[in-house]
Amino acid sequence: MFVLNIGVKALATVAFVVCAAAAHATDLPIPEGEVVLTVSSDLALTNNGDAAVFDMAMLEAIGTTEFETTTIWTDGPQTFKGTPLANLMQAMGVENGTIRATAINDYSVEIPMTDAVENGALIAFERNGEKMSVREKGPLWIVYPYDLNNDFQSEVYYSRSIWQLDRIEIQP
Amino acid sequence: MGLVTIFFITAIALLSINIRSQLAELATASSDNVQWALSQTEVELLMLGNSIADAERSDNPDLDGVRQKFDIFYSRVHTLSASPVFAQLRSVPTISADINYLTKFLDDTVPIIDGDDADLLAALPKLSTDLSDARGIVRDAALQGITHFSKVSDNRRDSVARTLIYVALLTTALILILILLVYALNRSVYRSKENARRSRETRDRLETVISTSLDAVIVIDEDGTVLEYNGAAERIFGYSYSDAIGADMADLIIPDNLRKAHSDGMLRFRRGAPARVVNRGIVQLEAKRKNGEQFPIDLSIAAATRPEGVIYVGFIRDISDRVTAEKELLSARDDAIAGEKSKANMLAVMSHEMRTPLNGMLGTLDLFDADKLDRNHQRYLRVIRNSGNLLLGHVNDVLDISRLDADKMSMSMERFDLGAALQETIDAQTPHAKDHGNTIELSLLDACLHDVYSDPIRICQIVTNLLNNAIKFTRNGNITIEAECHGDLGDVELRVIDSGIGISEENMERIFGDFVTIDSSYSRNNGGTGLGLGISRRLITALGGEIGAESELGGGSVFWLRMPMRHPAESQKTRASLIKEEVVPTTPTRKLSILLVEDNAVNRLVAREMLLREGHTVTEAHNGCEGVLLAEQIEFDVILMDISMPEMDGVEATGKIRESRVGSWRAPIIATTAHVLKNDVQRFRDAGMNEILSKPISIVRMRKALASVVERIDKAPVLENEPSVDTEELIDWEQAKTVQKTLPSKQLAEAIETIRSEMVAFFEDLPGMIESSTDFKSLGCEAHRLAGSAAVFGAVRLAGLLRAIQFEAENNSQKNLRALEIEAKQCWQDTCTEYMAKMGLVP
Repeated sequence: MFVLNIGVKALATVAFVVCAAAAHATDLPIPEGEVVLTVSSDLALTNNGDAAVFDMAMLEAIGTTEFETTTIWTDGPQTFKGTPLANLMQAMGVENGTIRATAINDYSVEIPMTDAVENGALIAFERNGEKMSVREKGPLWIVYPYDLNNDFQSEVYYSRSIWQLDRIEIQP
Repeated sequence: MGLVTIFFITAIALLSINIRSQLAELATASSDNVQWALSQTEVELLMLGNSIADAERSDNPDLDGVRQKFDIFYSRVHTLSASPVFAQLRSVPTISADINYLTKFLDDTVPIIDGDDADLLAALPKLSTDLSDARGIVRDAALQGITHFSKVSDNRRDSVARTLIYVALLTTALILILILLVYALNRSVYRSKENARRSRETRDRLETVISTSLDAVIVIDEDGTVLEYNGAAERIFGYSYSDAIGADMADLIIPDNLRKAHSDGMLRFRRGAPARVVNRGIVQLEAKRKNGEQFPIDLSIAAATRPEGVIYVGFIRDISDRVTAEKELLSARDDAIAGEKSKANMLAVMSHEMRTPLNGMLGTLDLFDADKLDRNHQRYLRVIRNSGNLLLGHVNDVLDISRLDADKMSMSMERFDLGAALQETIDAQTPHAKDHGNTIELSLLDACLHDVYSDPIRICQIVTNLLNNAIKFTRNGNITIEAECHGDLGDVELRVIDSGIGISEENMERIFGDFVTIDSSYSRNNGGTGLGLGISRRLITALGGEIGAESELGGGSVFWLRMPMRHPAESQKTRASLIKEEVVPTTPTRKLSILLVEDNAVNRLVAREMLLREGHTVTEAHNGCEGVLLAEQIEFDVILMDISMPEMDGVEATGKIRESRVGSWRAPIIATTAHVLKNDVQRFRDAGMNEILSKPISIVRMRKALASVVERIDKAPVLENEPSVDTEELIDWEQAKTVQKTLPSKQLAEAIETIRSEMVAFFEDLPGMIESSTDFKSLGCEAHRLAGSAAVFGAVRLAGLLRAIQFEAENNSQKNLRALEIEAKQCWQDTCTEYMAKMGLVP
């Protein structure tokens, strides 16, 4: 089940981040922990050259949500927690284009911007309340609420469900 | 059909759901790209191998890279071993073993990877070796997976294809069924339309039939209310359609006097009694028009049951005209029958009335004692007898002409001398021929014609006819009769040839018809019925011959007869019987006492005289009643009984005598009659008569009849001759009174006075006239005239005596006249006395 636990505070933070980003193009914080995600594009907001890099805390700061669903790769219902793709795109000020997501093993897939919506793609970083190791398809795994919407139970979405995610490129 | 359709639709629906679920399965793609996963496993293993190899060679080995590649591989194998997507893959035992092997390898390797760098570095060579082993396993699993999943997807495709085929088949079947349904529906629609059309046509036709019917058609319901009423009904009954519809049928057309019978009948019928009119075909009844006129109808009613109840359909025909015509026809037929009857009656009366005087004449001839006459007189006598017989024959012929036409004429064949017969015929006609200055000659060409077997009376009748005609149309000429036989008697030809005026061609064609008279300057005085040649033709046809004529106007005529005759020898039997018949007792039978019952005075006289001559004693009765009375009182040997008598006829009288059982009840009774028909003979015999003596009575036939009955005569004593009691009424008072009523008294008195003086004068002159015997002809005329006068005034006995005088005068019988003179004179005086007393008149 999709659990709307994005707090008012979180929303306010995102709003703040967006506003700040808009005000200062380079004003994206430098990650303090291990970088887990690199977003590259013609971005307004960067913190590492042309790219924007995120650690877990930064991702968490953009906003989190969690839902329960089964997947075809796991056994039994799983609770995923992470940053909705929509939040990330909003935070990055991206409205159009295609998202190319790439994994550590260089698996790569295109995700249309239409998936970056509420109840759409989620950049999960916790499964069943625990961080995910690489061995457990972590640290980041894009999942969809498959049980919520039958449309997600298709090859297209399964292929978009990229695990061991570490790069995102926004293509025009 | 509906059930089948529902079945198919259900089947298709179920299959559709099946397809949908299968499609859904395809759509939801419960499997990831398995091949990808397996090959990726291999790739990631290779990458791990590469990174290890790099680390072994490098001075500054990237151990984190090795660890990451290991983790990626680890995650891949873990997915293979845990993900439900690969459950099916794992169900293949070899793959499962492969995965287990890999899992074990990874689990064994984890401590080394997670250990410190030195240990890891040291373990790299062994790890490399182990990886090359694992590479074969992964390869094997990948190949196995491909084989397995291609099978699975084949099966799934097949299953989908099969389901789709089922659906296609079912859909086709359903479409066929739907087509059939549509066809059936169409047909039923067409049929119901057709039925509707047909019933409409039938209705239209019926309506046309009813409305154009010449017969009235009236339809009523159970209560007698008129439902239908056609044009013919309007015409026949006079009520208009609007008048009739809804009205009570009984009020409209049933005559008042039949209405109760009608309502009773309807009630009875409704209660289930057998119908007398309904469904019983055509019945004749009376109906009533609007104007109240009753008329006959032919009625036919049929009952029909409809949902609303029973209706009655009546067909009515006005048969007034037919009934009238039938009545007319019936009365015409009755008239015709009555006409036929009266004609038959007239013929019977004529027969009797004409035979009676002939009877007298021929009977009287027999009274002549031929031996006492000279040859000339004998010849005259023969002439008279022949003429009389011929006349009798004519009378018979007129009666028999109908019998001839009906083939009921019987020929009386006998042996005779044709030459003599012809000569006698000529002799009879000679005086007549002489009047016209004609001579008649006979030319008999074959001697065999002297002895032939045929019907002489018929032949002489024909020849007489032809002679008469010849004489009629010839003046001062010659008439020749030629007779010859061609070869033998089988073909005899007679020719009557005259030198007269001849016959024109146009007349030749019609002379043998009935009632044909040829107008000629000579014939005017002769007259005639025109039946002569017609009868001749019929007679010669009956004899098996033919008749014809050849003539030229102004060149005389030849009439010829050709007929077959037989030689007497050829008909031995017949001749023998004839001879026997002809063996007449030459001597009288023994003396008998005879009762003579005869109403006609002349006939009575003749018969009496004949019987007295034969030596019998005769008692006379003048009618049936008298005869019965005498027969009961006296026992006679024989009774001669006339058949045709007023009041009680001979048959009735015979019955009474036989029933009386006294007097002469057992005596033989001989019927005397002029008309003997075959069924009469039986009737007479049934009445108790023993013999029939046909009139005119001849001595010969009388002897024969008496001889035949004399054997039956009882030996009872013959009673003495009783005095004749003449009980004939003196005066017919009925007649006398009729005259008295008819004539005014003054005229009556004058008439009576005239008659009286005439009578007185007659009786004064009578003795002288009888004795002089010169003027018997005028005596006869006078007696005849007075007989008529006497009869008018009812003096019947006197009239009878006067007629007897007339008869005797015409027969020149001086002797009989003398006897009659006395009787008549006495009767005259008696009549005067009686008349005066009864009628209060002075004679």
